[in-house]
Amino acid sequence: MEIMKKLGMMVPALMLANAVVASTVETCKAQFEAGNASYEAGAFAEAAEAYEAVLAECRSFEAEYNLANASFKLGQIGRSILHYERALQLDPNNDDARANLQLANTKVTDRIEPLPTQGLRDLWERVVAKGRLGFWAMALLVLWLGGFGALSWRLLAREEAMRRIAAAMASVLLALSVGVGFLFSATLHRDDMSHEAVILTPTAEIRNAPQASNSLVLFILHEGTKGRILSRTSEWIELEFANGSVGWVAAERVAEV
Amino acid sequence: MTHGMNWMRMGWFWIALIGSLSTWAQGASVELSVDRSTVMRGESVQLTFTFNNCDANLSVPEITGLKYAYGPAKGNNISIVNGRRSSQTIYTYTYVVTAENDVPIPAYTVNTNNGKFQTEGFTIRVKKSSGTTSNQGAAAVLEREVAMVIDVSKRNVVVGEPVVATLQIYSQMSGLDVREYSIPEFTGFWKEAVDLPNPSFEPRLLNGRRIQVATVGKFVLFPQQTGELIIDGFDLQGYVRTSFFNGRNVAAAADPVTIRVSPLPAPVPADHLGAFKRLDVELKASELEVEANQAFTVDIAFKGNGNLKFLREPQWEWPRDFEVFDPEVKDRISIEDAGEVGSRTFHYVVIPRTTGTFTIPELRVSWYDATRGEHVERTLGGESLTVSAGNGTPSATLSYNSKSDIQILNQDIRYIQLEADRFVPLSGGGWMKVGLASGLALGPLQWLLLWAYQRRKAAEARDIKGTRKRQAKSRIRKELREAQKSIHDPATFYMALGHGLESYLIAKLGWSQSEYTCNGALTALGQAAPSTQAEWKSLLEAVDLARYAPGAFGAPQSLYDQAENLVNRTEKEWKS
Repeated sequence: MEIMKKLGMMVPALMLANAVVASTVETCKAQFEAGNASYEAGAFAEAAEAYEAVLAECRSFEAEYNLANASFKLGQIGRSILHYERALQLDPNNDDARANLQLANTKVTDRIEPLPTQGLRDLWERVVAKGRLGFWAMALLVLWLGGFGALSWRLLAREEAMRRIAAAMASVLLALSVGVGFLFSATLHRDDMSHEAVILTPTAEIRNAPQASNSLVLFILHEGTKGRILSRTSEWIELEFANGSVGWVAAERVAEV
Repeated sequence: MTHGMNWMRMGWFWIALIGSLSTWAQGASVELSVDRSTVMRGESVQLTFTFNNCDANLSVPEITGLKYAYGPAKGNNISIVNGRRSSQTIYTYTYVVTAENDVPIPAYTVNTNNGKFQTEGFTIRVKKSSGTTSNQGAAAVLEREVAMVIDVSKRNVVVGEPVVATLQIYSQMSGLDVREYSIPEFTGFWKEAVDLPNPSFEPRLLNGRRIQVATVGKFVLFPQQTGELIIDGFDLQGYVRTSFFNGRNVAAAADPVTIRVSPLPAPVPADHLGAFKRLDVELKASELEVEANQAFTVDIAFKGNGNLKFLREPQWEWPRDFEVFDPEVKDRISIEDAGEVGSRTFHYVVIPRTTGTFTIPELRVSWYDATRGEHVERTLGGESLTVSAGNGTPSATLSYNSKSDIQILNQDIRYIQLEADRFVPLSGGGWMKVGLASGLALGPLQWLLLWAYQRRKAAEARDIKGTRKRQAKSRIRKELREAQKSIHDPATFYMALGHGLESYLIAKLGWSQSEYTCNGALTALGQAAPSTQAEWKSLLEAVDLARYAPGAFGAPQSLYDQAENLVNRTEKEWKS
């Protein structure tokens, strides 16, 4: 009876939560359409504000992409690259975002020759992109339940051959679910802590230590250049760039993807 | 050319000869002639006095613009024809031309042993040097027994302007054996070598001194960078024989020559071809009225003096109605003393694909004329071109479908996403984790339940009596419910009730059906649940009677309730 009471209390709570979610989605949608209207009218600054309002409430590939477009039109190359990268985190295979990011990267001052291993890293970044989280979760659930379903079938099966088939299926499905579980975990970890950052200011000094004094300026990079976050303090972020160079940059000069 | 020069020389000779015959006396005469009428500065020239049937003591004539070198060389000739004697005495003086301009030879009055004669004056024409500047540098080498000389046509030029460099060996010794010499690198220049005959030493007068000169190389140089470019590295290793048995090694090196190269004067027009000493450009179409799909040719010819080999195909845009093939390049270029001269022609084959009136597209070219010292701009083309359908070409427009690369005019980002249906509230992410955790827990849970069920079933299979005991209550309840369904049919009801009660007791006692007797069961009940024994006895007897006389019991429900209560009490007591 106690359990039933608790379940009975959960139902209204779920309904309330569902209503709140629906309301938030509607607000985001309205802001998104307002942003599109501004963009079509050529008011890119207003459009950017509307898309930022959407992203403050909701996660949306389209809003990230459109905000990147508006930033590009405003000449904010660094910000546009940041949001194209974020959009690709949500939909790694989107052609529009890839094409626009490529074009925006041509406007970046710094030319960094990537190391040969960069291709593998890019592949990994795409596999564990934020947008993959739902896919990995669903795959994990299906494989996990399928594996235990096969185990249950093995319990119920009367013939030895069927039991063997069920055991083999269970082994494969559960092994796959472990692998997918690892990918889900990596994606979830990435979702919680970003791994890349983009320079947003016209120039940024890359230093050999996380302090403004008593440190050397190793090199100077420009707006739009992207690096991989290695570590961070409250005011500094250690970045590794595509050519393998590593240095510290003031956190206020970059934004995390 | 040589033939023409000879006639010219002969002409001068006869002019001088006829002029000198101003005075005649007894067949005597005096003539003054020159071996050549046109010379270059630094070259030698020979003046010859010819005394016919007379003679005289001559002093060396002083002539402005000519420097006496040596002479006279005297020659006599006496002949007797039909008893008449005639004589001829010749005095030849050698001079070096020092003047820059034409040298007038004055009329001379000569007192001879046969009278007074006067020669006619004439002019020796001094030609400007075309390839080399002067022999000033060469004159300086007279201080050395062997000298290497780099002689250039010009020392101040603009980028690309041709310069002719001549490499010469000067030797005051006749027995010089050249073992080895090096050619300069000409760093900063594009060079073209002038074809020369095999080098050999030839005598030459230099400031009145006889000297051996060999030209070992001649190059047309095109400076490719601005600033002071230095030409050096013209060295020689040789051997001079001083006597029949002895000799010594000699070495010589040329003084470096500096060429000052200036940039092209600003502003440099668009489509610039570079610097040329002389250039002309011409566009010529084979036809201006053609039929569709019928080829015609257009030639762009560059003629002049300069680095013609550097001329590239002009950037020339034709309308898409014309198919233009890559041009054939025709060169008629020769490397001469004057430089790289000739022509380069770009020969285009053009096929009109549509009918109509067009114009040959304009082609703008410009270059720097080094002779005039200014940029020259020319616009070619613009001629009207008529393309008719012609015979047998009814639809010329559709006869050919040419393809060309798309021209990217502008580049921009792709447009915004107009629709979106994937808004995920940031605050709602926890539900997914809860749902996923629940789903993941569901798999093992259902398997565990199934496993436990299976185990229980297996245990039951192993302990049949125990299982029946445990299941006795649920079975009697089931049987009682079945019996109650037929409560209005006493015969069936009491049969079912009696069967259910017997089954219950058999199950509780762990007996088989064959072991069951009413008294035996009541005895066993007396041990397991003694308080119920009496009630069980009355109930079993009542049910047994009712089975055989259903009408004797008017209230089946009360018997049913009694049975249900008794089973419940028995369960409680039996447990304890």
